[in-house]
Amino acid sequence: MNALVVAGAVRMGNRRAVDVVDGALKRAEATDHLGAFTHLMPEHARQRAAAIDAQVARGIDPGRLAGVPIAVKDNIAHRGQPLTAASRMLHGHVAAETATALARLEAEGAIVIGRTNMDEFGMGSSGEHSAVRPTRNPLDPTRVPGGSSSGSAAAVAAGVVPIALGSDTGGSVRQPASFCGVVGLKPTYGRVSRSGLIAFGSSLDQIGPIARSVADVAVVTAIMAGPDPLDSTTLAAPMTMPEVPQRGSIRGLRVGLPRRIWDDAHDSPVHAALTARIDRLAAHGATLVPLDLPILEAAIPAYYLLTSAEAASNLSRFDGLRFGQRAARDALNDTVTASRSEGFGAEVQRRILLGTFSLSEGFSSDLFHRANGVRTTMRAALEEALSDVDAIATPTAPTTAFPLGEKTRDPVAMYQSDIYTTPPSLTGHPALSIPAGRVDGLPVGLQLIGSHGDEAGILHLGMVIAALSQ
Amino acid sequence: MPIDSLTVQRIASLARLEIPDERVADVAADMDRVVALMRRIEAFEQTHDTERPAAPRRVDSTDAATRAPPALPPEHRDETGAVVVPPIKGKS
Repeated sequence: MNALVVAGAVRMGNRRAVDVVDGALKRAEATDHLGAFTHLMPEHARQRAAAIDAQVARGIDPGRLAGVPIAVKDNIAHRGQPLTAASRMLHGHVAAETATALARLEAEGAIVIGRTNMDEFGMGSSGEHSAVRPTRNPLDPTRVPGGSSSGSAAAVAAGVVPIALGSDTGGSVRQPASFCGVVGLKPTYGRVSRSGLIAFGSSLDQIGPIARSVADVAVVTAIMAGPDPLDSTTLAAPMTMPEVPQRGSIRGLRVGLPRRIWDDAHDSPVHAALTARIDRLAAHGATLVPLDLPILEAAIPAYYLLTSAEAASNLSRFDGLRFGQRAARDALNDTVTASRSEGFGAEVQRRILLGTFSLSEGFSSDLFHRANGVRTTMRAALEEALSDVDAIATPTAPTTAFPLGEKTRDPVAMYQSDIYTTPPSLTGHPALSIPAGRVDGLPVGLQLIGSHGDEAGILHLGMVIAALSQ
Repeated sequence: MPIDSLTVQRIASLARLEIPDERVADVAADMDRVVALMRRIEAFEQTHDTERPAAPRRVDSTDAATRAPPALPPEHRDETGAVVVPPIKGKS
């Protein structure tokens, strides 16, 4: 199901939005065993669909996403709907406002059918750290769909919706897109407003779309993009749409390949599958440029230092007094401590402890500031490399989807899943994951990193690679 | 130095979390492994040039010297210490 095709049919009056929405809701119920949703919204969705059909009947164009059913990660606010971030801490919490990004999609006729499952507060790479239930991979339900936007990727891969919104702090849109064989984009930091997104690591968080096609991702991002007075970090410059690939588009494209990533893991099956795809690009005229970027090796420690510190600060607002879960005790301090201890899951507590530890006076090696130094150096190194190439290509993840439970007891092994996705998160560059082959029947993703503000470049290259794969 | 149970309890207290006694050792072991991962930055810095921003850091506890000034000056309190809300201008 392609969003632009659905919208075209609804706008022309060839399909009714109510029928499209009914189909999506039936598919969501039929795939409930995947655990993709925390909350379905049939009444809301059918009312919206009827209103859009009425607009079409009156000759009014409902917008570029007319009647397109979408799913939204449960950390993006939607007024009047549950907003839990898949945490006990926010059980029963209802959003007071709608996130700017989501409001812009609704203004173009998109219809939200449900809220998707996730790793609690966005902290996880497998979809297993949800207080509701784990999410399963539609391509193999014994395996994880990736995380933290696990339900969004699963809902798109299972054919429930053509588009889902996720949020990406260190790979949470791209890695599940890779594991589920769909397309995911982390826009440039500041491209999409964070207003209405529950903060995890504020200097990295971005809302991003997951879809079946690069074209759908491009349109959805362009609609969400733009300045927002409710988020002072949004970019003023408009997002340009990617050029549609033509015959000969590949000639002259320069693709950077970080030497250490591609050389050191040449015996990995994921790398072998992706190398075949890269070689095909070269055979059609693209120039492959080896890059020396040793700074990327410091990404995982820098990322976990900085995001844990930001998470510890951001999550201090959840005290049991203002939102959701409260464990009543006689003394105020005891109420706060008990509410947080009962409300947060084990992984969230671990990140809060790590963040508090890394910011504490006793952590004398000052690693937090040194991680910021690595981040500054990495940003300059990537920008310099991108001045010579159109995009940098890496695997999205080092492996395919792994079995449920395989890494839940080993946080360090789980964190290594983000080894390729964390660099552009730290530096703010846009990064796209596209399906690029299979290993033992499971999809692998290719990550394309672009210059700051140049989503159009990597989306164009993504379309080129998708066209070559057909 | 490995992270011990006492450190976990101290950090948990700062983070307003309560770790049950039977879980403290496991939490300490997990944290120790993740902090070792974080410390790879030090090894990286020894072989590569990176920015080294310096920033002073305040102590974890407050005392008279570091405490922020009171939100309301003392004259807005009565003899019992209770806050006296100033009258709204223009209202009788």
